Amino acid sequence: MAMIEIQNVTKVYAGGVGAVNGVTLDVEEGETLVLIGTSGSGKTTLMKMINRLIEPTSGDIRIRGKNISRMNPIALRRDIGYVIQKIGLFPHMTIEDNIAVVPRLKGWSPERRRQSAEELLSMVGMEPHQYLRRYPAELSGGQQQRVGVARALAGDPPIILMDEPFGALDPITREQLQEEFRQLKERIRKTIVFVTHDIFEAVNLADRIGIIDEGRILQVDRPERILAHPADEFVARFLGKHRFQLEMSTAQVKDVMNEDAVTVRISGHRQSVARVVELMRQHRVTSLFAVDEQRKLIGIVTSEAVRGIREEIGLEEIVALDVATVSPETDLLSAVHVVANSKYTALPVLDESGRVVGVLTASSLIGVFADGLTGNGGTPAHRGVLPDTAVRKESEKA
Amino acid sequence: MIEVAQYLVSRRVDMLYWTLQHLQLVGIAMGIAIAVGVVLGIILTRVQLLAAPLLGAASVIQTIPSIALLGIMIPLLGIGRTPAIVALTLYALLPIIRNTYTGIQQVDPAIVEAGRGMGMSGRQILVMVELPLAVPVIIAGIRTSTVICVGIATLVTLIGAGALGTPIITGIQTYNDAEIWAGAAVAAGLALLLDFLLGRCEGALTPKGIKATS
Ligand SMILES: Nc1ncnc2c1ncn2[C@@H]1O[C@H](COP(=O)(O)OP(=O)(O)OP(=O)(O)O)[C@@H](O)[C@H]1O
Ligand SMILES: [Mg+2]
Repeated sequence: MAMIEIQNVTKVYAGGVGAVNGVTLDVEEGETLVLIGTSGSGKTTLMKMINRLIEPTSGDIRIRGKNISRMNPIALRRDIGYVIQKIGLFPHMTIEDNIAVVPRLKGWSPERRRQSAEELLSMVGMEPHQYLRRYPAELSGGQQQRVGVARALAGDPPIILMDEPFGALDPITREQLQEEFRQLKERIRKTIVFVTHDIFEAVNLADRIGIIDEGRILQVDRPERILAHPADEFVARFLGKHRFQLEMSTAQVKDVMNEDAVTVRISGHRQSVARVVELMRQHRVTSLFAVDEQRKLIGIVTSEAVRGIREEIGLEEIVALDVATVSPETDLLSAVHVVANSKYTALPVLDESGRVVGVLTASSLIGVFADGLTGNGGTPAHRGVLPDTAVRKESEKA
Repeated sequence: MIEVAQYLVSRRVDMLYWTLQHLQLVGIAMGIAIAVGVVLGIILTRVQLLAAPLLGAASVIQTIPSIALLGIMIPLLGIGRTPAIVALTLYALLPIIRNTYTGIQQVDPAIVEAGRGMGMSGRQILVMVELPLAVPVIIAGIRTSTVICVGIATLVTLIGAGALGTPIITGIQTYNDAEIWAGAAVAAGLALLLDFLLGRCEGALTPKGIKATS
């Protein structure tokens, strides 16, 4: 059962404005659903029907299977965090009191309220003792918005509604808050409905994106799927000229890397150069990675470095340590920059502990670029990856 | 000047009595006006349909010349303190109702919606959000009313309610300038003093977060 089930919901405002027209949509527990659409498309209206700030003209909304029209709206709202389009902090309350509103309404003890306010403030990246006693007017816009997020999390609601929470911020602060929020939501695992009209924000934060126009949901899917398969002309136009860039930012290194990096162990007993030459010939690569017993990266050995060297020299002496690395989660857009600035055409892909888990090559990226724009190949992971340096060929796998 | 001072000294017991009488009339009238005016102002924000007619009616009362209003009171309530207090209350009401109403109306709707969205009941929104934010405007209305009241209370002697109008009216009738000045000066001083004290109240009651950022 989905956390929020929206069934055939319509809202016609007094005066006959049809703001939402027969929307059916499920929001799964723990997911972030981003509603995106142009101004006036009905995003706010749809969102406010979830906490009954607006009553639908027809249709049903259920939360955990319970029809909300039969719930007490006040109790309902105390269990749904809400960040409004214009922040809306209470100017006459301290930051602590602002955050503690819902806990206070729920009758928590003062100690518990204070403790939760402190925790939440640190969670949004603000030093509690510096800010708890301040007033909203004494904070910057970005800080106010952080407090707005903390306030919505207070009382530990399972659902959070956020209406363009970062819309009013300058681009740099906005990006920073988005990034922090992305990490925060991974930790707190709430069901989040997030409204925006910024496609980059949507792609960055969403588990799924719902595209809304004239009160209708045109497409709901994972960001990379919407980018690869826009449902119709409008969606495609909405993604517009940013589509390729967006696609690159949703795909990660692990989608295109080759997991069979050719490596050679050098610590412990000495490895001969002849062994390296043999490996390169066998796997038809021009470079390979030197690793220790735990497969942790030491450096890169290139064919130029071994050319003409006699067998007696230890590998340590020809390993280049200045190799740039990426992680499996690095997005392709950033990876392209790393590759472009790298001395070597093959980059080791390292997990958190520094172990080599794959190799990313310039030509595999070029392959993605070649296929990417046509949009006919699903996610980049499913596209062909060209054989290259440090890459074991399919046929040669053990 | 000297005559005025002499008058004040020689009639100090009477002056003190009239002053206290004045304060008492204004105090009672203001007490009633604040209680009724704030409640009416709040009701108007909830029942918007009433706002225009009620504020209109209160303005009409305000336009009636005070002497005339006191005269109108006599056939209804006779003479003495009661009609005086009723008249003063009526004059004091308008600024308080109007400022309470506008003070609450001018609260940013986004802030009220935030409160509603977090699960505040209507009463909680009023007490926790709207009234604290409207305090400076409401007190400004109370200050205006108080000054008006102190002034109009100098006339209630005409319907036998005494107060600081007594020496003024006697002075006019007996061509005694010193007596007129004495009454006027004390009444004016009283208005200034009350306005000052209410100003201090405003400072104390205005929530810290919305005071002009220093
Ligand atoms: N209270 C209202 N009464 C009448 N019409 C309204 C009301 N609120 C919104 N509308 C109309 O409903 C439509 C959808 O409005 P809504 O606020 O949901 O749009 P939105 O997608 O949130 O836009 P934005 O990105 O500008 O916030 C618009 O045409 C708007 O004019
Ligand atoms: Mg909106």
